[in-house]
Amino acid sequence: MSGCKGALGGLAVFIAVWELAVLLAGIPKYLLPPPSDVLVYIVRDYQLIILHSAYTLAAAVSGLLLAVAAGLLLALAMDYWPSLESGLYPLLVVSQAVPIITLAPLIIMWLGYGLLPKVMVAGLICFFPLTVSVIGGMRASDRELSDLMRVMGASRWQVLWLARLPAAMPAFFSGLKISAAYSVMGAVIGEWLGSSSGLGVILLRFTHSYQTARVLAAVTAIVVMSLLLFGLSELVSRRVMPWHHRRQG
Amino acid sequence: MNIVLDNIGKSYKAGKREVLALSGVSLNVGSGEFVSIIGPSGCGKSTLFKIICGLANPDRGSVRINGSRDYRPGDVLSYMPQKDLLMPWRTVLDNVLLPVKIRGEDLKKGREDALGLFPLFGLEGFESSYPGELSGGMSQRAALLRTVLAGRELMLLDEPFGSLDAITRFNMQQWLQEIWLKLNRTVIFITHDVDEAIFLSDRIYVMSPRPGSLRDCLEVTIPRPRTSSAVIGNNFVKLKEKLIGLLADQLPPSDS
Ligand SMILES: Nc1ncnc2c1ncn2[C@@H]1O[C@H](COP(=O)(O)OP(=O)(O)OP(=O)(O)O)[C@@H](O)[C@H]1O
Ligand SMILES: [Mg+2]
Repeated sequence: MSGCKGALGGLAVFIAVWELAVLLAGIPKYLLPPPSDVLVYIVRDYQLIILHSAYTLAAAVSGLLLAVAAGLLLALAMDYWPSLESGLYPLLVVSQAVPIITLAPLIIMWLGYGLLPKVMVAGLICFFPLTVSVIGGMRASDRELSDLMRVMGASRWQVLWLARLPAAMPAFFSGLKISAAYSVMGAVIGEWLGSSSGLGVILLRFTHSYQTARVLAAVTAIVVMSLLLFGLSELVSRRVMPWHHRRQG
Repeated sequence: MNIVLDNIGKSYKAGKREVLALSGVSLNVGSGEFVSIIGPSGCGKSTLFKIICGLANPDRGSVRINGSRDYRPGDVLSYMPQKDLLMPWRTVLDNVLLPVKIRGEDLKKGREDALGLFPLFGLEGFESSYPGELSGGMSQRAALLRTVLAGRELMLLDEPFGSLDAITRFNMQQWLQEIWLKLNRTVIFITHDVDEAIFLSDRIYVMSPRPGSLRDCLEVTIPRPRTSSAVIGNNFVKLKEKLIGLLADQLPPSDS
């Protein structure tokens, strides 16, 4: 909580310096508007912003959930069938050499201009960090615990479900927190490439007409949304892993 | 219940070198006995347990439980490894119920049994705590309770009190004796501690340094239940002298 206060204080100072600098240096507003202008547009455009935010949020959250489901399933399957892991894991790592942003146009081509391609872009971006963190967490789980469970008569599936997967939860949730922010980025990228709604669209539109204050208003919405998803992941993590957070105090 | 180890040998590969961990280990434990194995660190005590549990294969020799070489460990024994290995994400109660859960046995009955034993194990009030909130001694007691609740007739306990201070340790030894007298289980117990071995055991095997073998054996005939005053009794002191002598006679491990 004290960290939260500190961050808010830092933000306030940053905004104040920005406002003063713009005023004193006489920077033209189309290059860098003062924060007060941005605030004015946030208030004036709030209906527009909320409308498009909802669209972006829907894409981001669906993509994230899709990635969570796919990532967990794949990690479980790879852990259960080692041959699957040795075959697929290198591919998964190499796939990261392909920047998603270069695939996005293809995805738009295949899936059109609706919500689905944005969900896919967001999902693809989240998928890798999530899957890799779960696999990493499972690999790091205590070998001796698995052995003990085998002595107790546990099946391979029970070892996986009762020991290896829970052991990977802290890693999963750190992956989730990163992915939550990525998912918004993914949705916005998807919208840039072709869409009729979403924050990505109004971002482009305002940029083209040099309405810098309104661009920054949209950026603020994106930041708030990312933070919200990040905070929500943290909340879920606290609900799911009370043991983890209690120990850290 | 009867367990026979016959001439067990086991070596590990450490890089290019072969480390002979056990050589010619034979042991015979009967129903309801409390048998200790004492020996210096690294002589292969834990390895011996891993072999009995089927987690490691011996290079030579055999393990027979009730006459059978291919027993299923989960059916005949419960194993308490050197580390407590509690699951940090399960409450203490859920941790001690793990064997019940794994076997798909009646969880409700298991819970009743467990809760009944919590006071005896000094864990009352910590049923829904997480292992991260327990002291080292409590964690070991929880691990011991999990082993007891597994309900198998043979218990293999690998230095269950290894990380405890002297006071807690003595309390735990009394607990264990109490539990053993009450539950009538067969116990094989690994320890470094001379007093602990004498206090608890019917029989003590002394393991030689690597390669480990059970060279000497000591019968302990001090009547039960043994109390704290037994530790200063004449009988006890004589056994202790003898045991320390046997341990001192062992050559130091040669690593060259
Ligand atoms: N998995 C393994 N791979 C290679 N060497 C091993 C392995 N496990 C044990 N060893 C070696 O075997 C020997 C006996 O180990 P073990 O753990 O059985 O000793 P211990 O008597 O239980 O010691 P301690 O009292 O310190 O627990 C040691 O030299 C150890 O280095
Ligand atoms: Mg050991």
